[in-house]
Amino acid sequence: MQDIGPDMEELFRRASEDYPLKLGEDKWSEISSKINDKPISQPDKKQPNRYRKYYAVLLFLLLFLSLQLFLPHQFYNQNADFQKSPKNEIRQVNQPKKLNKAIRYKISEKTSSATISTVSRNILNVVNSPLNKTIEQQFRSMIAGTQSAKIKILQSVNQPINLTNDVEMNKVLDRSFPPEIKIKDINSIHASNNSLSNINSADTVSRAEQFNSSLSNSAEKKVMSKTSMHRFYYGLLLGTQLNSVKNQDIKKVGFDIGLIGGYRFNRHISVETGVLFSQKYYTTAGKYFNMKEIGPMMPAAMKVMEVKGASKFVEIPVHLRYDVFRKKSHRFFSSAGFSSSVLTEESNQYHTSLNGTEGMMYATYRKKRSYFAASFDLAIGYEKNIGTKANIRIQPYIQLPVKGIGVGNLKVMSPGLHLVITRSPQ
Amino acid sequence: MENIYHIVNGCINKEPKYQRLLYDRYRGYASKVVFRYIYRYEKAIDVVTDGFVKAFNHFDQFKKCNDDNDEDVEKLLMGWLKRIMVNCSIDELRRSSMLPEIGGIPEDVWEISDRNYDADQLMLYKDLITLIKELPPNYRVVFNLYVLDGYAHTQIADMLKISISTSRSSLSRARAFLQTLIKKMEEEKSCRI
Repeated sequence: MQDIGPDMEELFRRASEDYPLKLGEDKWSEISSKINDKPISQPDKKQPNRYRKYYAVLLFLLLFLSLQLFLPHQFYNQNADFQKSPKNEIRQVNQPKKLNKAIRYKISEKTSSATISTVSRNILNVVNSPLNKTIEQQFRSMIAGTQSAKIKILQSVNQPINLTNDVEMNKVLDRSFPPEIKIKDINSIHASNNSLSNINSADTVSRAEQFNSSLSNSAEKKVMSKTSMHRFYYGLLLGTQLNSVKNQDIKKVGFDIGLIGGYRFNRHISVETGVLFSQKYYTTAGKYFNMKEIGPMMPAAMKVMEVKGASKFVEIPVHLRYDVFRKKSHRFFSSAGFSSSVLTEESNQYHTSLNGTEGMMYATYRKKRSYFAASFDLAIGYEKNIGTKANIRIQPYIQLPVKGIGVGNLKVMSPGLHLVITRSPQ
Repeated sequence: MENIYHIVNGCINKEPKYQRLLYDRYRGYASKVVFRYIYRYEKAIDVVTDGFVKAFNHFDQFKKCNDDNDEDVEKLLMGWLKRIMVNCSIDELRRSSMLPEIGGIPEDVWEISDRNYDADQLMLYKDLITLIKELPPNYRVVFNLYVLDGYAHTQIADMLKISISTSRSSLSRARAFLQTLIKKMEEEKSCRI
């Protein structure tokens, strides 16, 4: 066996010059009709967008940013305020970590309405920490913030509340809480609040515990379930799918595997994305296979009777999930969204007919093709907790094609089943 | 027979008589260049037609030597024509997204008769060209450009808008592919014997 070395290449070179090719049809008339026209300019083929593959990532980032914008500002502000009162100092008073979380949540909850109990709890939260002065200032700025808060504070210290002037109101507040105010005095103020009247013990931890027990059961549950709700989660996805073109026969089952990540906006709504590798198998009659691309590659009289395809994809889904029914340990949900995909390899088996003679032909296309929002996905599912941080879910779904894929521009519908294990990082 | 120098000058002046002469003289040569790249014969002939139209429309860009040496002018002209035909072929392949072709090459595109004294040689050449045409389009183009048309990897990378390393790897894969095809061809021949 000869290697393709210089000698062989020389032979190829000679062959390329002297090979016996039939002189084709004389097309001079066609040429002469064109050469006096304007110079032929090749039709401007749309340049493939090199950055298309980054669109999905960009979309995810945009989604993430918009999520930041739509989240209630109070959540961040209060969190920030809370973080300003350093964690370390709160730890110094040896409050249990879980309790801190509960209090933190309570502080963050709807402070715009600034109910007197919340204000009082804020006082409670800060009153016994070593940074009393700072905390008093925080309290002062808090009560100076909203008119309703001021009125309620005034009510609590038995001041007349017919002061419509903001300046006057502030003066009364200053009188009520002079700079040299003692912690004890503040305690006496919020002692008037019935729900918190028994919280004036000396020891911080015991007081915090008393506070914790003073919360109503429902509120407590709410707090605890809220704190256990982690916003970010990630997971592993496995699944099978049945791919069909125009509801034709399914002869082989496809599969997909990948990683997903999600962000929970609130107790019901979350957004999910991921990267999945999927293998699809489909069979279609020739009439559904678009010959535009491969037609010129085939003899003119050849007809495609049937195509069996196997394609490999990298898919990037972006789904919005809504928890329809939610219990502490399990939940039912539905989700919808779009999947963008990159076709990495397509192998087709063509059943062809040429002048009455049938035959099989095989072709593999390795050119990568990107499809932005190629399918619209719908799913329902059931999710169950595994321990405190992990969940397992089973999720039947359907991918409805938006665009045709591959050389045959086939619209492949894919119903399937996903098994997903997710975990929260916290 | 018209002098090539006159033909070139006539084509520059867009005189149909000389254009026709040039077409008749170099049609076969252009077809052989294009058919190495384009799999289907009919498509190759269309590309040749487009190539000649392009050449005639831009003949003023052909830079002939100042001396009147016919051989030099002819060499330059053939090189120029080849470049146009190669570019047209690449454009055509790009239009079809370099998809692999399906179906065989009909026997009637070859011109071999028993009267040819070197029929065996021509059969061998035909087989070799068929082997090149059986390469996947992206390998075939690189092999043609590098081995048969003498372009460097940098030029190929530029023409095909690929990286130099891709061009190199395509060439080595084309060689490996050809080696397999040659082996297969030899086995088939020995079976026939």
